[in-house]
Amino acid sequence: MFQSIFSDWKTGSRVRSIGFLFLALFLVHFPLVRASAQQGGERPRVAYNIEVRLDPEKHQITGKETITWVSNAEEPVSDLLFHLYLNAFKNERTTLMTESPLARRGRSLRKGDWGYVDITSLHQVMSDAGSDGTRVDLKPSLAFIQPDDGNPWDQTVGQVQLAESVQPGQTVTVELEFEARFPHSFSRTGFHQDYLLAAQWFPKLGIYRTAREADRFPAPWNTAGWYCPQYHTHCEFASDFGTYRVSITAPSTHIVGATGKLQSPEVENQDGTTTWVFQQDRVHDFAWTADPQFLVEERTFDPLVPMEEFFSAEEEERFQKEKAWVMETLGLSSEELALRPVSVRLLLQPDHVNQAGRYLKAAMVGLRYYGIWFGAYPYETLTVVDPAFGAGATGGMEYPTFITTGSQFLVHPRGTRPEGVTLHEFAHQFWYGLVANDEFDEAWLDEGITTYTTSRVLEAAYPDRIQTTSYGSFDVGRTPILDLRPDLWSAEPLTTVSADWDKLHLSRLALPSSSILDYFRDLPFLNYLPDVPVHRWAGTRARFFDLEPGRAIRNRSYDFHDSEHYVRAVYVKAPLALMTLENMIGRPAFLKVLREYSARYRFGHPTGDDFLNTLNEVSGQDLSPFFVQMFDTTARVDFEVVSLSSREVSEFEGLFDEVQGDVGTRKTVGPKTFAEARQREKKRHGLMGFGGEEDTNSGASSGQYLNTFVVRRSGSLVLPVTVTYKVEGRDPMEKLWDAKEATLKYEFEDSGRLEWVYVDLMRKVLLDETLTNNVKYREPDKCAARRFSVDVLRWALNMLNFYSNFG
Amino acid sequence: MSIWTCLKRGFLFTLKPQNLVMLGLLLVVQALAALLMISPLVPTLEESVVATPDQTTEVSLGTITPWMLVELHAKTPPGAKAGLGLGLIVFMLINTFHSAGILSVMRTTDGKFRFPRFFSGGGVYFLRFARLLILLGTALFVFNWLVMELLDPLIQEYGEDSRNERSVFYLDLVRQFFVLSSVACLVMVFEYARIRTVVLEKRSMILTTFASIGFVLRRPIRTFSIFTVTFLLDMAVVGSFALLFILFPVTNAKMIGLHLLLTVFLAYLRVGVRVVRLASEAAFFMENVGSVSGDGRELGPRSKPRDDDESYDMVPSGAAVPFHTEKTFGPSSSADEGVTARELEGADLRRSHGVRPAPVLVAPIEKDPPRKKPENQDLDVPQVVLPQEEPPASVPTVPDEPAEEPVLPSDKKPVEPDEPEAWDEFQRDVSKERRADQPPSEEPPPWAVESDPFNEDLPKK
Repeated sequence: MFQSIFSDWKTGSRVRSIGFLFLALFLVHFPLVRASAQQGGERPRVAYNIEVRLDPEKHQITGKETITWVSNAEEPVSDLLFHLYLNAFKNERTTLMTESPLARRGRSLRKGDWGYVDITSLHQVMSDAGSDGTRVDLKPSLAFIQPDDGNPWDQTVGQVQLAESVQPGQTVTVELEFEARFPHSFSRTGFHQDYLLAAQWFPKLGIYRTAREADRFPAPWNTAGWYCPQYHTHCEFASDFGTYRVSITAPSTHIVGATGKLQSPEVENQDGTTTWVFQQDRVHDFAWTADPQFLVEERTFDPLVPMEEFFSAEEEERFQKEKAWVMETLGLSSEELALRPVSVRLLLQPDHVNQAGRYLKAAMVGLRYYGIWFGAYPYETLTVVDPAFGAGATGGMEYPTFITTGSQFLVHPRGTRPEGVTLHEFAHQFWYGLVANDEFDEAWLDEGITTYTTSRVLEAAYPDRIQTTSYGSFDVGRTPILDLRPDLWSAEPLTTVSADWDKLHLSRLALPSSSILDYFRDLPFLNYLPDVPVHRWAGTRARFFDLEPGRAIRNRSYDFHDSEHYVRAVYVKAPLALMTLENMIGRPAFLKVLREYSARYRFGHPTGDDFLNTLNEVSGQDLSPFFVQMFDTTARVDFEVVSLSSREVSEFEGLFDEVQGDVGTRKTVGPKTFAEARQREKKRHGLMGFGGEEDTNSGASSGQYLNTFVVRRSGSLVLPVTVTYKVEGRDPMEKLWDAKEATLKYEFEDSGRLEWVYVDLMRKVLLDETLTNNVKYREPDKCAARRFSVDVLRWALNMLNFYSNFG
Repeated sequence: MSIWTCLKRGFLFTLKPQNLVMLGLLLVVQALAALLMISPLVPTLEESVVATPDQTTEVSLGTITPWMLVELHAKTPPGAKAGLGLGLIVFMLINTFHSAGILSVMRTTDGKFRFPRFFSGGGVYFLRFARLLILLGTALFVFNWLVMELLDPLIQEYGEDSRNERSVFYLDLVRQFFVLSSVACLVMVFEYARIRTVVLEKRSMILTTFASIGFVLRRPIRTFSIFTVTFLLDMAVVGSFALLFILFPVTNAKMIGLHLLLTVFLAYLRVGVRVVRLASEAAFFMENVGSVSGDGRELGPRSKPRDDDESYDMVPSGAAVPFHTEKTFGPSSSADEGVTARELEGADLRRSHGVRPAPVLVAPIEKDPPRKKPENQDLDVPQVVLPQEEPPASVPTVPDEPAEEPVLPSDKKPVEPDEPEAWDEFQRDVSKERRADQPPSEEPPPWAVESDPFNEDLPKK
């Protein structure tokens, strides 16, 4: 083990200059920095050794922490920057609070339940030979800085001047003691009664970027040095990969779960506490939880053993089919797609005990599908936490090898709760955990791809899931029509109906939104659709059109002025854009792109440009123009069929010249219909039927039509699109339109009438705002219209009947 | 009377052939309003994506779709949208008129629909019902505010403090039941207020509303039971049709016609259920309170007053104010709760409609007359008192037809009803004298029981 570590470090550019004492120090203080020899990615730069004790009554922890950091800088580093994120909950004037005063993730922070982290002592352990073991007090130099906004009340970033600069490639070790108090469940962390989710709880180093690395980022983080943003409302986190060894002492009544692998059976202390030790290599964060009410369910995911407990024969067959397709698409062997055993530990709330199987199955599904798509999950453990009721703000979060989900007391057997959130957070293990993009700077890289991935896996592994709605505290397996998103029916082109959803609410219909109207809206049965399948676009496309555009996708998270626009761009538009890109290059090619992106940047910190380069490279196309429009601008698009017509040529009137002799000689022979002129012309050129009889099929007298249609692109987003049109008696025909011009008029003669025109029949452009105007029929189907009119009439009658009770 | 008897009477009333016409009228109004509401939408359907000939689209969807609202939103001019809201208000007003008309029909002797009864009754009570509508709207608004501002924060606070999801879940259920029940109670109270307005010829809607609250509070189980049963009936109708629509989706043009017919029939049934509820409640009200028909005879048999029935204590000793006309709508006198001399001013109404009231027969009525249970009555409290074969000698008889020479209780001079002020004063005096001078009767007056518009099978005089 150490051999491999040493050899890895030996190959580093700066390591050779480190002497034997350093090596000894390294072995003492840095035993956890172990790179997996078989995997690429960045070298771990930091190691944390933390001992922490929980006081559940005060919701406080006290801890000792040893941080060892290997400088990747190209110049001496004289300071260290720490995230002190619990200070974001210290008062109402912190940057987090001013950005979202006392309300975050649907929960409010109760005044008085403030949180903080206080470094009580801070020492640098001198590493040179002459002062081995000397500890220099750094606390006096500790200062809070506000690199993002200059808010003097924000203390979420601490800066400390080192007693001795760290030379490139050298290691610095600091020891610190801290005391922290958690806020009430709020913004991803905190307690609720005796439940605790400890996230962002310890002083954590920022990322040191070299000039080359920093150059890819906007100001103020575009220069070489520490990258350590403040805690903002909309963004999550970014850190260096490292090794964590954390010892947690909590009351013996508590069940503790954490990032990483439990090193040994927990040890019960004499003071009624128990110490749990977790350790994990190559992760960039550490979270843990403690709750006396947790129920623990543990299973082992073993890819070589059939898992009848979770998968039926049909599901197994479905997975094997998907695996075969992936092997064929990626050109990989079964061995190359092999997955690794993982110990799955579920910490469940007692009220959700009947959902344990669903949680565990979702985790197994994720391990299987994500594993074959993006590479095997490399860690040995996965901890799934079901947060306590009342602590929802800590749910739905991802940390390395540790995810928090969320559910409710009663769930619908065919709904997507708790599977949806579990699969989403687990997908983050790949897009955030392993491919560790900067969530401050380009959150779409993890949230967007994760949302896309979640939709994919739900579609693949849970095809029978339906939309549900919460009706009187119950999940009902029907969906109120007014809550339906239009794209729920868009799975199959031309067999479904869709529309932009943002106009669906009653409030958008010039009616006030009120509880009474809501009651009416939720009147069951007649206003409900049963068994509406969960579609991978559902929710995403729907939410996209709910809001006016704010910023482009590729913006710093904390530059979005509110959460709605942040969510809309990162969680909604980004996956739609990714799906649009997938539709442009095909699903196999897109899978290759993601696989390659995952392989290249596993244990790395890629940027959006890295993703684009991978996209262009793997697809073999220059997709940059489209990518830039979709990700770097707020351009919108709406394709529409403006008109279509089909006119029999014999209907044309006027004076038509008759061609005499060779081409070019024309003679006006007097008033003629166009049909007559064409007929005579064809006769002269021998186009008549075999016996000289009039050709009724191809002649001009009848059956020849001048078909015309016009399609239009509204908005400045230019994407190529296919226009499909159908002439009666023929198969549909396609015409590729680059849409560079705003309109396209197409005119052609044919023996059949034009029946319909459809822009983007296959629904490739998911950013198309309104899909209802993408099609036009020459002769509308009045039967269908009447049927829907009856439905609307029924709806109106029921509504009036409801209101008649009041008069 | 048990609630089942009331419901039976409600059904019998609703199912009278003439009254089915009334339901049809209601349906027509609803359908017209609905057609007006959807009319901006229908033309757009034929040009939109729904007009695809692909029938799989039709099959895949079971009911109306959101994009219809999209179309409605996108292609309806703003003025038309405002018109929709206005249309709803107009519908509510027409519906108010209808409610008044229906109750006017209900309170007549035969309880049969006649156009003059319906429309004149609707006209008479429209403004009062409109005031009740405003009161109901205000009450709902206040209730909503109370729930949002007081109840919900309490529940939310409890939920935030709790870790017990199960208890919060059940608390939420209780909250929803409470809210729905309260809204139902409000609707029910105002339905009784409407009934009271018509039956007892009330003019102060606020007082009527409070009296109706008292009425409901004194009989909470029975009133709520009637409401609940009819509500469940409505749900059963809706559920049955929903099942039909789901089981037999539109797959061809013929099915569209069938769906249209089913839709109309559904609406017709729902209107019917609503009238059943109103009629059942009216029967219950009359049975408990008593009423007088337009021809001067009491409609419902007086129910035996309960000891705790304060309303009964309010009943003055007095008699009906009979009047004869074919246009039997409008005013009534009553020997019942809350009836004061003021309510006898219904005569004004008669005059305003050109109805000449008959001279008043004033008969002493006992405040708490003994009741005799009819032999064939198997109903619960309150019990119906059947008329005596031979009225006791001490009680003046009241002929079916008004006497030409009415017997006056005092030496008051008869007053012609053409003199409004004198007429009112006369009646007030009569009422006072009844209360003050007349000894309580040992036997119920013969007019205390008369034909029941809700159950013609009951014994009649």
